[in-house]
Amino acid sequence: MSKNLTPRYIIIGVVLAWALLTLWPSVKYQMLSPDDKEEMRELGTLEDLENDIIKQGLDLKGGIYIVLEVDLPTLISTLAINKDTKFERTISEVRNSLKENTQQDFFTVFANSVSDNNLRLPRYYDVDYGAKPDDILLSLKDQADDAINRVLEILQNRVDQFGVSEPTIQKQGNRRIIVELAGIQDSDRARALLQSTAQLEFCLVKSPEVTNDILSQIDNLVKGNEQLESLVTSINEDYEDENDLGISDDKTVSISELFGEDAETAKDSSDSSVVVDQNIFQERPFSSLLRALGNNIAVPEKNLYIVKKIINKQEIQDKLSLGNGQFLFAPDAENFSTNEGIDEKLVYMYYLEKDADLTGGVIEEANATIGGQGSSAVGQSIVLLDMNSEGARTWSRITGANIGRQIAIVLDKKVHMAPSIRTKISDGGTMIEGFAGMDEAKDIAIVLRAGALPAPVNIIEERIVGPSLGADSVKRGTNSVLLGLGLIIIFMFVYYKLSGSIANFALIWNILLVLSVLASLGATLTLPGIAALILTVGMSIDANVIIFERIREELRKGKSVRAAIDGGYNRALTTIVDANVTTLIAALVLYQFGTGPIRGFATVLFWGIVISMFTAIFVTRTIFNSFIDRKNLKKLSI
Amino acid sequence: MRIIKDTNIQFMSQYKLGAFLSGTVIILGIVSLILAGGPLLSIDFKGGTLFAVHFEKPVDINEFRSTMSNVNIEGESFDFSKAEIKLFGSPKDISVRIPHMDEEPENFAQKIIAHLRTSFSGKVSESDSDFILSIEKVGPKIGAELSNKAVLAIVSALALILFYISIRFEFNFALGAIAALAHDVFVTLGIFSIMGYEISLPIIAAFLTIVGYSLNDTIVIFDRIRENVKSMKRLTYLEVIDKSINDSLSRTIVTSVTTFIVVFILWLFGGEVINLFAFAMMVGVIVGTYSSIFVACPLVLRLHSKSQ
Repeated sequence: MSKNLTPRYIIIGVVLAWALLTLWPSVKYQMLSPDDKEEMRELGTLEDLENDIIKQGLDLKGGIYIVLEVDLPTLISTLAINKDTKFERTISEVRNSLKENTQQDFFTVFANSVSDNNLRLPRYYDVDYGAKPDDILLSLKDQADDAINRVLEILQNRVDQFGVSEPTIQKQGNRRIIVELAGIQDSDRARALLQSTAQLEFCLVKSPEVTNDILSQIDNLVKGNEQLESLVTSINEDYEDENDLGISDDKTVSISELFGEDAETAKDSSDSSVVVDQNIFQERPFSSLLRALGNNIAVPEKNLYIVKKIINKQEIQDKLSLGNGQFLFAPDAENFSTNEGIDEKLVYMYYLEKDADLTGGVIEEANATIGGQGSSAVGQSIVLLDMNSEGARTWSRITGANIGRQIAIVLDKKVHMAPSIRTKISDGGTMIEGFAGMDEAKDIAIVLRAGALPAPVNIIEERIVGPSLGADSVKRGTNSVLLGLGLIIIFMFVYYKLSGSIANFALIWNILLVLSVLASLGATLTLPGIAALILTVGMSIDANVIIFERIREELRKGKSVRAAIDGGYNRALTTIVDANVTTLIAALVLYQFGTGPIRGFATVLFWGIVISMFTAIFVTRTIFNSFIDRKNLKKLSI
Repeated sequence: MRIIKDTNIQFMSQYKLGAFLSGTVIILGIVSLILAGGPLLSIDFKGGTLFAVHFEKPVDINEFRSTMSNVNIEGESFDFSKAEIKLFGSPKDISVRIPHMDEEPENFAQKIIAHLRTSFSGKVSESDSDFILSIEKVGPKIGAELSNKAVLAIVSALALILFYISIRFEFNFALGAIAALAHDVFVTLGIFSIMGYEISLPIIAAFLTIVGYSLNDTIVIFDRIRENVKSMKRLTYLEVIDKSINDSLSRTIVTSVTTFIVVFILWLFGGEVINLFAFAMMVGVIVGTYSSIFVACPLVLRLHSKSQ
């Protein structure tokens, strides 16, 4: 082949120049000191640079990967009107069935359950959804699809305000959203931000008489139910053990005292100790788990689990919905000390009207700030709310009509505060307190501004990589690549001499090209991606080995250098293509089925193979040919 | 330099040895799989929680385990001492795997970690980012889906490859290649089971790469057979196959050695996260090279003599 080689050199030159050009930003970025980066960030040029570099996956950079799924049973139930126990039962049946067999489609299960229970859908969904059950199912499906898009939008909004660099939020299928937050370590905060439905409700607290009544009803239910009673007993035994350790129980105050004629005394004795009087327990097993705190009830943190478990029992829930009420809790436990100086952690529990008088849809503005002088929350983190005119009107009416009563401000089913209404509020301005700190207040203000999610979302997959593990992976990965590369280069040189050096040149060029393709595709380099790069180093040598072995064979047959090279390349060509196409198939399948890190692996493997074929067939061949042309070689160093 | 001179090894007459060797390894693997009740699946497929923490000083794993026996989460006390607790690459790093529970408390991994922080207060770094190496939580739903996907991925890769080889070669060759692949995956799976290693998502990626690599190797030999059948009409089919393996032996060994070197380095220095992946690849390179010669070729020979 003594054709003019110039066009080939031009192609090789252009590709090389392109590779170096696309890799330059990554190299530049690596050389920047943290100070330089900060300076560029201030100038706004860092972001441009970051767009052009090879992105590191979360497994290398550290960060959070979360998959969220819309809670369809809740969504469908929220959309329904005139809900009765039959409807609720169907929904919980669907929920259980989905839990047992996770692979079922929600709507199939729902449709089956509806027909099994003879649930007449038109009763629960107004005519907008259609007149026939099938139409209703269809429009519910549309609603579900719509919901995910709204969730996506709202989450994007929230994350943008949260301030993370390069967040990724994308839809996966029809029901899921993948969120990737690089560099974030505080997973509690991130998940609270994502998962909060931002469902703000204002619910009136039921009067002490009504509350007392429902408590004694629950007491009676628990008494009649062996299973529940044994739950309570187990807790009480725990307490008895503790009492042996010297914690006195003679300060016990029964819950009935609290709501009895002597509420004032109860207020004063908010220091009372654990409620485990054996007599009270016999009489009022449920109330014995609770504590009196002023006019309100609280649950010792230790009892919280059991209390929630009892409340969530179906028979209790039925009782509650009869009275149109619900039990909700404060977000966190607070410390109270008894007059013996024993600290106890208590969580407020409220009995509220089930239906909210006002919801968060009316919120126009929400801002986190510190409570000023004169407010009830001096120095605490608070969120100030502004309502639209309609909201302000309703709020004014509610506050006007219920002076003296407590109203609970409920966010995502947690009671942040339950102040007593002192005067009518007519301008719609309201304040929420009860946050753990400024970060939380800020995050809540963000979610309130960004709006409520149409349905709750569940986290179904969560992966957090700490920065130290990521940094360790990068270091080890880079070292492995360099070491592997070094050994292969030495081996190739020793085994194939000058020809080996040409293959080595091709190998280095190969790696550069793979990296520049990654950079220009905006692909992400993951730890498996580094593994694929190392694998490419090993396997890309193969094409050269096949060619060299063929050339050696041809030379042994006594052919001239030129003929041997031509023959070797021609014969090796089909082998190389056939052998590599199969690996390409494997890479494509991996890309198709994989997510995240596996995709990163497939991407690098794919480009590694494609580029190594190119370098072996085109680049090294050109170099060989130019050697022959220039020197008219008699002997080939191979 | 030339390590492999012109060889004339009669590989095909050794097929019984090969069958014995492969058979033994596969049967051992199957026995181990049956005893273990199937392959050991990671949380990627089964759902569950996995976290790894880093201590400033080495921690006794038994002490760690007893600390895990009573963890208080939201008033309920949990016993996690039966969880899978093991060292994560160094005596200062520990990983814990907890199977999926019904009614899991929210954020319970974070709460266990908080519990560990107080229990080992002297040995834990102040900042969470130095203490927490990783937390992974996979719901059972995702896990089941991933298993289906992984099976689908492997099956569709095999089908596509079968299709490609049938077009480029003969159907017999495709069967030979697929047999070699199935052999490789089974052997690797068996060895994983014997070693007690878990199959996670990256391991599935490794399996598919093994599939690609092993094929690469097989096809280079097949290509020689295709070429030699045309040019050496005087030789019997068995002799052609033996000659083809010998012709390409030098390439086979050089490529296997170079690939083995890099995955070996990855295994040795790549770190805990990538360790099992590299191990699977190491096994795959050896088994893939072997199976091209001792599984794929004998089968092609058999199928050929049957069709004559």
